Amino acid sequence: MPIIVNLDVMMAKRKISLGELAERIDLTPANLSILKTGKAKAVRFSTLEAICKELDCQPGDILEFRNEE
Amino acid sequence: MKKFRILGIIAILVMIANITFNFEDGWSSFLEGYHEGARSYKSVPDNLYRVSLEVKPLESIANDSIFNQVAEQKVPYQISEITTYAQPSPWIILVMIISALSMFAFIFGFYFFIRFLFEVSKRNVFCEANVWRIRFFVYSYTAIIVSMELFAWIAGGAAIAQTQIPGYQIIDHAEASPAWLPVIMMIILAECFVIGVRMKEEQDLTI
Repeated sequence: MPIIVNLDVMMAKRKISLGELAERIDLTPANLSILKTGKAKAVRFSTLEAICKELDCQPGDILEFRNEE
Repeated sequence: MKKFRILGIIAILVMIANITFNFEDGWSSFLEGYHEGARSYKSVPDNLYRVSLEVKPLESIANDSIFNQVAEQKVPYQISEITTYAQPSPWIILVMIISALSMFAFIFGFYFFIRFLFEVSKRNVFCEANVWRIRFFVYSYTAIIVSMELFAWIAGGAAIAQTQIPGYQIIDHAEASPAWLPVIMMIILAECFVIGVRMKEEQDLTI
């Protein structure tokens, strides 16, 4: 998929675990894991906003476009 | 859910009844043909196939009449369908093979349909397995209908060219299968179900 999710990179930089982040943004660890592993089909703006607020980053730090051509 | 279970049971019973009656009809036709072939004064060669044809009386010919006991007078009658034998093209063998394979596939399709109903009654509706089950059932049923129509078209076309009946005009081979509309509706509804499953998968994977 051309959109790469770099959530694990940001989580490592902020030294926060998956379970902790999920609890802070009111998401289940299973759903956050789907996002982290790149299996998600779509992300709501509200979820993206909550993640960026918690990890103190920009959406571009989490989502990256990589052309597969 | 209770309404769905009742509908599911009715659907299964109707399908079993349909298959049973068609089997009985086919079996009685087979027996009739077998006994007819056994008679010494009339035997049908193996390369001829039984075909039903629609006929219409010629306009220049006066209608035949029969006596009606209640009206106490003669009333006209017409023959609209005849059953005869014809030698179709060799393609009929291929169609018969396709029909046999379709019927074999439909046995599994019927089983998958029952499994689908069972899973839905357990509230396990929008899953990939159900997509495969409903598609297999619908397309195996469609294959049967298509092969039946092909058989009727090939055999009927041959019979029309080879048969003449005095006083009547052969207009078409008799319809041997249900109308196409239910089959197309089944395909459309099955594909709508597939789209629904894909949408649910996407919704589940929207974080």
